[in-house]
Order: sequence, then structure tokens, then C-alpha cells
Amino acid sequence: MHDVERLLREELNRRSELPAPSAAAVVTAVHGLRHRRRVTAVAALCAVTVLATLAGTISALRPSASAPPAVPSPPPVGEVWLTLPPDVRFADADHGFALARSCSANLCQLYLAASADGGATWQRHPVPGETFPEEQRAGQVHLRVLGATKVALDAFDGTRRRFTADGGRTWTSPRVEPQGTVAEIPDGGLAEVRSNTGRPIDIVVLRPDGTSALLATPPLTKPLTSMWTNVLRGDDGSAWVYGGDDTRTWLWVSRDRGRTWRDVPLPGDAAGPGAGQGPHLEYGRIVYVVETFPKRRVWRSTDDGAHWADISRDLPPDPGGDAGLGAVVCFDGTLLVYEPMTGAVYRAMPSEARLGRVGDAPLWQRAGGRYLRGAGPKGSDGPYEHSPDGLTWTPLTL
Amino acid sequence: MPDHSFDDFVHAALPALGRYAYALTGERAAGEDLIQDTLVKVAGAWRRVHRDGSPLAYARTTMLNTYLSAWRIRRRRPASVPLEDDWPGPDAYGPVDVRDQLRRALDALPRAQRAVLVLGFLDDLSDEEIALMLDRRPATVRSLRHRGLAALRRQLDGDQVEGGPYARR
Repeated sequence: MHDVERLLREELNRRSELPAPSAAAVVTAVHGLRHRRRVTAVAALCAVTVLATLAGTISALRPSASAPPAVPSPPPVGEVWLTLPPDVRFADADHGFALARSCSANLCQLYLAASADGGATWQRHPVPGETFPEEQRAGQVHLRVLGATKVALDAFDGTRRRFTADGGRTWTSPRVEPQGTVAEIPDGGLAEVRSNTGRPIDIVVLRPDGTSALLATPPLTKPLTSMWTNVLRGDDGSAWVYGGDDTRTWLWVSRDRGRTWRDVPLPGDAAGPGAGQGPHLEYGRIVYVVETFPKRRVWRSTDDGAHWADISRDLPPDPGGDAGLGAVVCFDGTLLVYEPMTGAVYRAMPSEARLGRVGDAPLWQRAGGRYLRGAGPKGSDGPYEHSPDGLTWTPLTL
Repeated sequence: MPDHSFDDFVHAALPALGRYAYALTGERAAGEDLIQDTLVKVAGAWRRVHRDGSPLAYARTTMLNTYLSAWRIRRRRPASVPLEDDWPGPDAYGPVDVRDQLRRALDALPRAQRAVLVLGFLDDLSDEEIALMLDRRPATVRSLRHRGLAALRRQLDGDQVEGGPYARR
């Protein structure tokens, strides 16, 4: 047995001994941030006043004047590389997007690479105003793909959003803060969970036009302390929220675009606090739960958790409980499980009652409408390849 | 005449705030973000805080509340994931270091449990003091600490490799 309290004390002391940042830099940053927020608030107030005064005239003369002007993407300069780790997502089998960068003099310009031919060729468009130091290796934004030509890039700090409706050729900067409420997650929209200290969660919907609104009917939750940030969308259109507090873990599903939510009972130890790697929900109609500790078990439900079947009988045991398992749900609902100690892959098609060994191969990941894998020495290393079916693979080359 | 008291406070309080921020977040960049977020909030209420006479205590509580409000920081930083969530690769036999296991286990704890452990084991605060800072009951603090330690113990003992350097004794 370890002396956990001693180890914990040592670890916290090690962490706390990191040198404090430069006080002058922090003071400058804090004042700068406050100044920018004040300027933004004043500018927003002025804009609201002007718009309120002129709204009637403007809407009569220019019906589309409420949309912010689109900024064209400047021409590409220099060599463009994928950001690492790769941030790639396909809206469907043909249309995909990847974040990329081009660097010179220790400063990188963020690019959005877009493909409309299944990732065979990519058009690269610089994202106006998005630069970052070279040592960061990636821009500080989330890639959020809304459709074949629509992408939102949300800053990690929640302060800005870049939005394109034409595959990266032109960009606008819609407000990040939710405006009003919506009754449902619209077709072509996305949603995120927003936690509230001591209160139930909210759902923030990203509309197809790049603006945000609160969902009128989020699932009624306890205050969550850990959760998936994204509201996961199943291939069948279902929406899933997963999270927990210090006592247990919940899963909720909505099959009417977020108008109503249902608590999905979780099997085995998956409902405990901080449980495992979370359910696999990509297919929507079939939910898988892969447990690796204290015992390897794989569960499948086809009725939103009313019944769970243990399909893991043929998986080799892992007495130490430290080997883990990789898993991916294929587009047809088949589950593939990767056993890292042997490299063996196990498969359970929707019609099969249990996992069976099908070969030895590195496993891949879902990247929206395609699979993505690293073809390097480790499964997570480049060069990267993508595939519509897991059989034919195309190098991801910008 | 410009008021430099806030700047002076930052200079004086930064080591103490940095200590907490790094212990809570476990990484330098996230810790600096937490410091900055905290100080922006403190600056917004500076006149009142300065007048009340306990700005460091206010800043520490603000930092804890900011940390416990998962929304912004979760979006900013990718979450640390357990080993089995990493992309699988053929070299899964690598040696496992107990410190790394502890760090991962600590990062995987719910924020409230982690905050209680940091306050209790970094500064040896009593349950009552922690309860006051987190606005919870002392019994809740005891429960959070118990569950946090149990989770760490489970993770560490469960991750021991038989016959390896960290084998069960």
C-alpha cells in the first residue's frame, strides 16, 4: 500500500513551488484585460444605442444590415502544416476541416484547411486575427464544424468567435455570449454544457448562423462538478449530456432536439463518481459502456439504458486493471475494442451477442464523418490518415 | 493621483496566489490563467476589498470560487485523461511512475475534492476553516476529503504492477 497522504503532500508541495509569474506582467495583463472589457462594454452600449435609433431606417434600406461584415481571408503565405495534435473534423464523408498553421519569426498564423472531396485535396485559408507564438504549436481555439461549409472557431478563453459560412473564404466575429433562448437545438446546430456553481447546468446552443442562445429546456441536473463539455450528437440526431458530481455519474438523452430529456440508467460501476472513460454514444440508437477497472466489461444497450447486455465474455482478463482498452463505434453501430497488451482487436456487430477477436491492428478514432488514425510508431503519432470505411485510407496532407 | 495600491497588492500577493493556483491546477499555464482571472475579479471590487482590509483572503476565496466554477477553465484547457483513454498504441508496456499516477489521479478528481485536499494538505487548514472558505459544512469537507483520498488510494494501489518497483508489499 502507498502512503497516499505523504505522496499527496509531496506532490502539492512540488506543484506549489513553481516560481510565481512576473508580477509586472500579471499587473499589465490584468489592467489590459479590464481595459479591453470596458472598451468592449462601452462599444457595445454605443452600438446598441445607435442601432436602436436607426434600426427602422437601416432595416428598410438594408434588410441584411444586422449581419456583421464578412472579412475576406488574406492569401496564404509560406508553408502550412497541421496543428499538433491534429484538430480534424468531417461534416460528412466529403466535407472536412482541419486547423493548420504557418510560422515565421516565432509567430504563427492560424489556418482553416477545408476539403470538399473526401480529404483528397485541401484549400487553406488564413483566419484573420488569429496568430499565436510558435512554441504553442496550435491556436487557442476550438474547431466546431456546423456543416459542409460552416465552421466556428471559439477561443479557449471564451472571449471571441470566428465564423465562416463559406469554408473559410470570409469570416465574421459573432458574439460568443448567448442571446435569448431557443426551444430546440436546430438542424445544423451544436450545443455545449455550461456548468453553474451550485446550480443545474445550462445548455448553450450554437446556431447555424454562428450566434449562440440558451436552450429553454436543459436536463434538470444537480450541480455538476465534472462533465463532457460538448452535448454529444448521435448519428441518429439524438443529443446526450454526460456528467456527475461527487456522488455519482449521470447520462441524459434527448430524442426531440433538446425539448425533453431522459435519465439513462448506467450499468455496472459506470454510475459511480468519476466513472471510467464515459459511454460511447456516436451511433445514437446503440450505447456502449467500456469498463476497464476493477474488471473489464463491455455493455451494450439498445433501449436507452432500460436493459444492458454484457458482451465482453471473450475479452482477456486484466488482473492488474491498468492496461486499459481502446474502443470506437463504427458508422454501422459495430463496436471495435482494442486490447493494448496484445494489440488484438475485438469486434461486436449490432447483431452479435458478444465481442469476438478479429485481428491485430492499431485502432482509429471517429473524426465526424470519417475515421482518423495515426500511422506512426504509436497510434497517436503522425503521419495521419483518414478513411470513410476503415478499409481504404488517405494520407492527411494539406 | 493614481492609486497604485492594487499593483502593490499584486506584487505582494503573487507568490501566495501562485502557490494555490499551481497546486489546484497542476500546471503552469492553467495556473497563470487562474491567477489572472482571479485578479481581474479582485480588481473589479478593489475599492471595497481594500477598504475591508483583507484583500488576500478575498483573493484566495475568489480563486477557489473561480476554480470551482468549471465552465471557463474546462473550455480553455483540455482535460487530463486516464491512461486507458489515450489513443492505444503498441508500446503499452512502458514503466509507470507512481508520481505520474498520483498526478493523473489528482487531476481526475472532482474539483471540490481536489480543492479540499489542496487546502488541507498544502496549508494544513482545519475542516472548519476549509468549510468557511468553500461555503460548505465541515461534515461535507470531511466527506470530500475521505472520498478524494479513497479515490487516490484506489488508483495508486490499483495501478501497481505485480513484481514491479511499486508492487504491493
